[in-house]
Amino acid sequence: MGSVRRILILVFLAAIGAVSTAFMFQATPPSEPSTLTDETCMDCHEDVAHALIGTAHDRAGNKVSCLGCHAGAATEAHVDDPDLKPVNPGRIRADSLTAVCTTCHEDAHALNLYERDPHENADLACAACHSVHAGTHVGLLVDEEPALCFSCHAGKKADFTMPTHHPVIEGVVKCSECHTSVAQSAKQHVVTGPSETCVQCHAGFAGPYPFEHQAAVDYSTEQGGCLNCHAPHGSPNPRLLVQPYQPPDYALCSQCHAVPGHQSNINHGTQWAGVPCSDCHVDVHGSYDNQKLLDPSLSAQGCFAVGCHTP
Amino acid sequence: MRIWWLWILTSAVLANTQARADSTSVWEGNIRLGGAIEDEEGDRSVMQETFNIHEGFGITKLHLNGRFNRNTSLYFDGDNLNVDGRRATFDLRQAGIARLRSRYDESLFIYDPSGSVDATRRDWWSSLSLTPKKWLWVSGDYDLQTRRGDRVGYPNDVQSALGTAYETDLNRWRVDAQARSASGIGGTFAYDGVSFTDALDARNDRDGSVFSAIAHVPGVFIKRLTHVVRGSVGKSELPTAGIEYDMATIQYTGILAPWRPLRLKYRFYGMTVDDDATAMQTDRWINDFDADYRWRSAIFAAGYGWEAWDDDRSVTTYENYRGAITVNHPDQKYSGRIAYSQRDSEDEEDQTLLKDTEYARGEIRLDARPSGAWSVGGRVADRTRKMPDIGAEAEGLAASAYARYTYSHSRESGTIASTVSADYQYADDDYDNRVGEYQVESQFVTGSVEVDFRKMISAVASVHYLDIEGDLDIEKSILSFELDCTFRKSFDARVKYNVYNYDDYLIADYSGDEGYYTANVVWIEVGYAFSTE
Repeated sequence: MGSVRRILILVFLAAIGAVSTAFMFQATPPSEPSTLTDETCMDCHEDVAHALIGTAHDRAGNKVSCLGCHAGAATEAHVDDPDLKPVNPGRIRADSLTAVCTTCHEDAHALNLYERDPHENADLACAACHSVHAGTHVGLLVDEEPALCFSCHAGKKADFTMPTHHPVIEGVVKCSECHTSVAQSAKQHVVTGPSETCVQCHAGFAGPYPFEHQAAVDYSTEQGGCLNCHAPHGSPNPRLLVQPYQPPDYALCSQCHAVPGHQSNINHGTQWAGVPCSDCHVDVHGSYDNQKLLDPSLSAQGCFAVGCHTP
Repeated sequence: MRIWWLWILTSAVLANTQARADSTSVWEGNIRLGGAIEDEEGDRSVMQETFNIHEGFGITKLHLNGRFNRNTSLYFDGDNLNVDGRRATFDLRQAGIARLRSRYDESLFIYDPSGSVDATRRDWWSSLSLTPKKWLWVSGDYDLQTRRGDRVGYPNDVQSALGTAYETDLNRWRVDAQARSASGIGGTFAYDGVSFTDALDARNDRDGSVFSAIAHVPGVFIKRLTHVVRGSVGKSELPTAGIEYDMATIQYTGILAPWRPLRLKYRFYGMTVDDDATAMQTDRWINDFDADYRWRSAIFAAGYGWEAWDDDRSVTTYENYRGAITVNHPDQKYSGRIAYSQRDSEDEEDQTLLKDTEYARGEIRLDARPSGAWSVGGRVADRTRKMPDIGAEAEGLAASAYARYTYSHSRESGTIASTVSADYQYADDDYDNRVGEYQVESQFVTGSVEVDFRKMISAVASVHYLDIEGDLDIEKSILSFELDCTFRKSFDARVKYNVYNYDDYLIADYSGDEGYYTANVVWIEVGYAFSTE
């Protein structure tokens, strides 16, 4: 196991070194100084500047300027010939757009987008959700959550009408509270536990427990961790369960513990057929007492006697 | 009622800044008075949409949005302020200098058919951020989340080992500072803390803290190379149980665009968790390589990833493959995407329950806007998860389609506008293992018609219908009708009528004869809106 770690560290360091040195001596040509000023823009676009009054992009504070976002050769050409389109951050490639916005908004949210957010990989960037000139909602969003998210992720809307669901449509929970890559915080980068997203609200199950339920801490798969048992958006089953927890099979547990009716597992005779798993394995999220997540009171009942069950 | 502090703060700010209001001051807002009348029958625990509808009359909406002067703006939005189910958001901002935000919400969850077994979650959150210099951003957050009420076991007739009540408090706080130089070098330092207390079971009490740092460094000699490095260390402990976890992460992302159409990305992620109680350590390592190339309106993307989870009992390795082609019309008339990803895991020491797994997901999506009035689209996705060593397989097929039509006709007397939309979604989920199978098929239809007549009368009618078949048999529908009449430009009266229905035709498997629910709810409101523009 240790050798795996050493190899990975070497791969990591080698990758950084290779990428850095391969381009180390490439020179970047200096750009031509521009003669444009904001006043040039204002000659024709004063109405646009007026619409920004009171927003963080208002020029009055001199912290932003028209050319802060629209600078470039296309804008210079647009001044000479208004029929030519100027630099429009809403139309250029996502990584460039992100670079424009991160000139000021260099926060974790922007870095997420830049690094690994699927929105960016789909050529969407800041302007897909935010509108500097026409955003009317908090954060200059083009619409409020969840309507903004559903405008693209229409297929998720039905999840939130399932018999049990997270109250997103009801306005209690926002998409961005779980999908932290679009949240205005850096929390995503901080390890607070194996199930960090869910336990932000469901803290009672966060543990850590001396005896974890392996499924609950295994986040190595696309639907790992809490999602092994719970459908996060909505489910036809109670408690957002991905499979029904009903007799005789208790399919939820049988996903991994193939013991429908208990006949299939040598540790469970037919005498327990139809009995809910949680009658004995009470601490399904993790136990302070025993590895099999059993109810400690079973000891008093004699179940743990030598020759029978050992916790 | 702690929400009143928001009102007091708002009033103080209003009074303080009124003197500095200038000609750029603009305000809009509205206040609505009214309430709901509810008639319901059946199992109250099956229709979440009605959990937070409370009878009674009061202030159903208070909304204020505007600015005192060129730099200072205020936003306040509150619902049901003096009845249960209240919610409010507050945002005061001095552009480029400071921002104070607060949010409060409460929600009720019902567990039993009679509605007498329930629990309420309340959440207070506040954040203050300062930008004393253009290159420096400092912020602090505090969140308190409480849960009070009844707790039930599941299935409903079993005794829960978790107790019969909730009395928990979750406190979280965070301070961070972000700085950035003119050359693009940036960094963040953050400290996160959490404290969870369970008044009914002290074993659950938990404290934790994490210190983290992020550095964002453009390539020193290469303009098109960017490095992002992150690291964090933290500790989590259960004081009563004497359990302590130590955690650390390191992340690196390098993004290189050697020339315009091509971009290369490498990501490394390492995490380690040490459990002092069991002396066990878990390490996680990820290496991802991605490339994307743009040609005209198309983006071609491909990636490969290799991961390892290494703990004291097992080593599991993963290989990920992904590819996608995305096409976006420059004028947004259409867009489409075809994507496929695969993830294979190998249990190197044959120790985990699931053993080796294979995941695959494919998706085709198409959206089109053939004219300004029409937009249509659809998506088909298929996902499989196989665990061959335990003989289990799950497959999910999801398909969706939508169409929207917007009509607008203007005359001198005003504009008549309408929007018609329809969505259809289908899902088929199958699960098989060596001894049994489970299948659920669901269809969901939603449609709505909205009409606005000269900004005087607006009407909305909508329907949501969900049908679940297979090993479950559930029907659910929500019908909604709304009429809003505006008079004297600033006043309006609104009536809304919703019908909720839920039927579970396999009620014998659940809770006897309580497998249905029906409710009729009427909302009546009058409102006053103003705008200084």
